[in-house]
Amino acid sequence: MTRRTSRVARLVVTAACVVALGSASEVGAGALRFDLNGTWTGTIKCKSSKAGAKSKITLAPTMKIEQSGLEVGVELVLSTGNQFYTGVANPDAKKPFDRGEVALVSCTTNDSVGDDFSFDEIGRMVVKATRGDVKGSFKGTSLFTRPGSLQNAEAGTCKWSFKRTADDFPSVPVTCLFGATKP
Amino acid sequence: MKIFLLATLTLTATLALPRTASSAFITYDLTGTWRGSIKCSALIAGAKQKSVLTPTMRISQIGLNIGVQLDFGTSTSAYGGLANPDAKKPEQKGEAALVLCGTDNVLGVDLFDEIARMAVAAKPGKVKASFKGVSIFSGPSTPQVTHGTCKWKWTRTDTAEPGLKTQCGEPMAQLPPPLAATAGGAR
Repeated sequence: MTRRTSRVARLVVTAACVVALGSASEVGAGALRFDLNGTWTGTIKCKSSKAGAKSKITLAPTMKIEQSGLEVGVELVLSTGNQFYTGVANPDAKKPFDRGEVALVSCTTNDSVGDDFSFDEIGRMVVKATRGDVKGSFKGTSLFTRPGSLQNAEAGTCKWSFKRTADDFPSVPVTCLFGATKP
Repeated sequence: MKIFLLATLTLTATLALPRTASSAFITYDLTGTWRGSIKCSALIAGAKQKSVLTPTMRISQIGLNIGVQLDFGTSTSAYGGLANPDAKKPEQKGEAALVLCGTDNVLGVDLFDEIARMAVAAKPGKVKASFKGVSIFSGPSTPQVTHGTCKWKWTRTDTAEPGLKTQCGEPMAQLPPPLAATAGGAR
């Protein structure tokens, strides 16, 4: 083996090591995952109990999602004002690029039920969103408590069902540590 | 003079009645010790996993505020909650919303976050009572991303007051004046 051949071989090995280490680090950061980035349309159907009486409501917001690693930011565009959520992606062990789940929390959540400040909500979503494909589904259930004094407090269950209409990159915070939304 | 006193007493009682009779003062009472289970279906690092927990559950209730403690023997979990009595039979049944103390708007870091919605039935003067519902939780992401859904099912075994706090930190709701004080005022 000539000195030049030996040098090329060493470079190839070094490059391979760099690529391998880079991949490992990305995997550790959650590289093996579905991609929820985009704009979604669908409904949130809620059933609740308020002042001891049952209530139903259907919302049809536009949902914007930004995903960075395993962190997920969700913005619901509603006529009454936008609501922000953040979440953690939990890619399926067998098909992480195609599907999995997401845990969501409303950015106004705290551990005081029915206080005058906060709307508390946690959701569990099942997602299908193959990388490179606009088509995607985002379905699941959330539980919420809404502010109110005495018996005006409300607690309910919501069913979310959304389909992706564009795989754009909306700018949505992936943490709640922004503005005045943190309780 | 007697007529004036009688009229005053009647007026006082009349004014007091709507407050006493208002839904704010009538609620079921979940206070006591409970036996049952919490069956959870979780997704841990992309794999499904089921578990069944059978802690002792203790509840204290003051007005609409509810404090729940799950006693696992070696550790406990505390929840703060709010009663939502049924509009027609507020003393017998209704719902309750619970939040695990420590829940915040940051998932996957440090503590578990959990919200629960329960259907309750607890007739006054009877030990027998039920407490059933669903919770959704998210756990720390280290070492593995974890979240799931749990089904709670409980039956009360004792109505002794366990003396728990009914709020996690900040006040959860305004408490109505104690019924006894209202009755005393009417007298």
